Amino acid sequence: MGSTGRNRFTDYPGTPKGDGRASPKGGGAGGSPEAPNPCEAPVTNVPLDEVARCEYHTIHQDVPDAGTAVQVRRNLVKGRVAVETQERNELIGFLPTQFNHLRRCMEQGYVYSGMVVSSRLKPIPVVRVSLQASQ
Amino acid sequence: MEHTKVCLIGQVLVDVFLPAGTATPGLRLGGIMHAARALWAMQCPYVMAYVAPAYLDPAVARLAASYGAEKAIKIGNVEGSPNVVLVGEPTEAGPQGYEFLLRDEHTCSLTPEALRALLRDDTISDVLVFPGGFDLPRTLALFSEAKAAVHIDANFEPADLAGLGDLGRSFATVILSTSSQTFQGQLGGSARALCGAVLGKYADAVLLKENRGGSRFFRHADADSPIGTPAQVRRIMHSVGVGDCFDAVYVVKCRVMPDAPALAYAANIAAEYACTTDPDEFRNAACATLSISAEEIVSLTGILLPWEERPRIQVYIAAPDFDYVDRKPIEQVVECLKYHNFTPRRPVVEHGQCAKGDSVERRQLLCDSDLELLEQCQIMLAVLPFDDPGTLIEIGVAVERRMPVIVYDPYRQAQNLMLTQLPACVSSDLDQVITAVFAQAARLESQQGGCHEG
Repeated sequence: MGSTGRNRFTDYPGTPKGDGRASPKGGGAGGSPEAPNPCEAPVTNVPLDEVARCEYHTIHQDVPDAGTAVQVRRNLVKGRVAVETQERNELIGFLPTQFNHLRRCMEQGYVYSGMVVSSRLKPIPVVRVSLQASQ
Repeated sequence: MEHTKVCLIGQVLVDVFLPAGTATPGLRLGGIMHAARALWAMQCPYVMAYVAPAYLDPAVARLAASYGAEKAIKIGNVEGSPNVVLVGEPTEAGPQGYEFLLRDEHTCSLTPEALRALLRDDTISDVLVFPGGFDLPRTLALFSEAKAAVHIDANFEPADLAGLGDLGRSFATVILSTSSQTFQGQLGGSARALCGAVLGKYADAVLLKENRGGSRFFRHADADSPIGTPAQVRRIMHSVGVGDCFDAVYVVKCRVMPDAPALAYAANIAAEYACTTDPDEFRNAACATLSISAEEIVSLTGILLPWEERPRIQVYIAAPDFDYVDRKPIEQVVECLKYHNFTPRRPVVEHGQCAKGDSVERRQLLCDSDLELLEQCQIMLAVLPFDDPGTLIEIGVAVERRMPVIVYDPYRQAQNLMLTQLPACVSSDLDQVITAVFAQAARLESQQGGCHEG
């Protein structure tokens, strides 16, 4: 029986990533790297909020087809991170609030675009999107 | 006073994260170092007045310097304990399971002259005190003559709020979390009781932090109209020190802007702190957040679900909750829901378990009772340790009723198309599951015109 003895304080600014930094999910002492950059994590198959109340549905009484190119608006709309069509900038819906950090990511130069992966009009309008980050 | 300089007072600890499985434990300096990281990220001048065991002094000195502290003055020596905290549940999906090693052997000899000398620095605008592990009454008494505004995070001490009187003057802010013994014990889990006990008597303002449910801020002059600041909830790495980070950002920003944006920046930067332990990544995120306008940051929606509103959110636990099944994952979610003040309902526990030889009448009664209970609940949390047909049918019924369904799939069993695609959330991560409960509860409350998202 023995003990592992690699732990040391390495939480210094400027330390290269993965060089023993503390990680609550393990690997704090020279172990596994940190979680991926949340700004670069793909947004996959996410249902948008408030589709029925947003511009696209109001104008067209419809939802955009699967495959429609979409992007995230840089500025918030009513305090929400908004997704619009790339072609006409029509607002489709809002990302759930757990994606609010994309607003500050955009402040760091990231932009988000992607496409509608599925949509349906009834019984209630639903639009799901997938997005990728780029800089 | 235009110039802001903060003095942090409290213990320096070693946080040791004990991950599940085979991953290596992580560790870093905690205690007031969490607030220090926030001040460094905001490039705010600060000094540290800390207590710790002697063996930590070199590490504290090195780390404080690298995090831009003007000074790190030791005001008390700890003996008998290594000041090590083992953190079993880093995300606070439920009770955090902190284990403070040798807590009862912990003693601290204060050196008040060191603190007195520090307080002669009249450029210090704000003192932020994190009590615990040192003589609080004696320390507070030293501040009675100082000009700086004093803020206190009173989660652990004083055990009785009357101890706040030791300052001899009013605190600028008394900060408390809903998870604290003081809030749940002395105050009976009531923000009103908190305000009654503290506002105007010991403090000009009270900040109540409510975990994933946001925060409420009360000013003495306007206690009936608190500022509700939504929590920015997303997948996190840890929750250790996140509240301290919130405190530090608020204390700095409230000097230069109204309370609402100061609190909104605090909530957003605290959320960033919870998502990484990489200091540079955290600082970049904090700087980017601070470059968003005050108007926009205040408008940002999130989850606002006050503690007192949560018990009326009844969560139907759909699960094979039978005496011959390992109920550990079911009991885990129930414990987490109670920890956050929701009301879990367990149909099998409440109505009884169906046995093979039971009469048709009893079987019908049990079935009807369960469906009636489902009707009373607002959210379904299904626990699927295996493909239990009863649970799967209940999920289908709830989806058809347009009730939000969250599935805790502890062993990653869920494969069926309908099962993986119809619920609002399917996850093997308890933190994600509890976050989904908050999000769905806030959404429901919003639809009912009560407390709301944003």
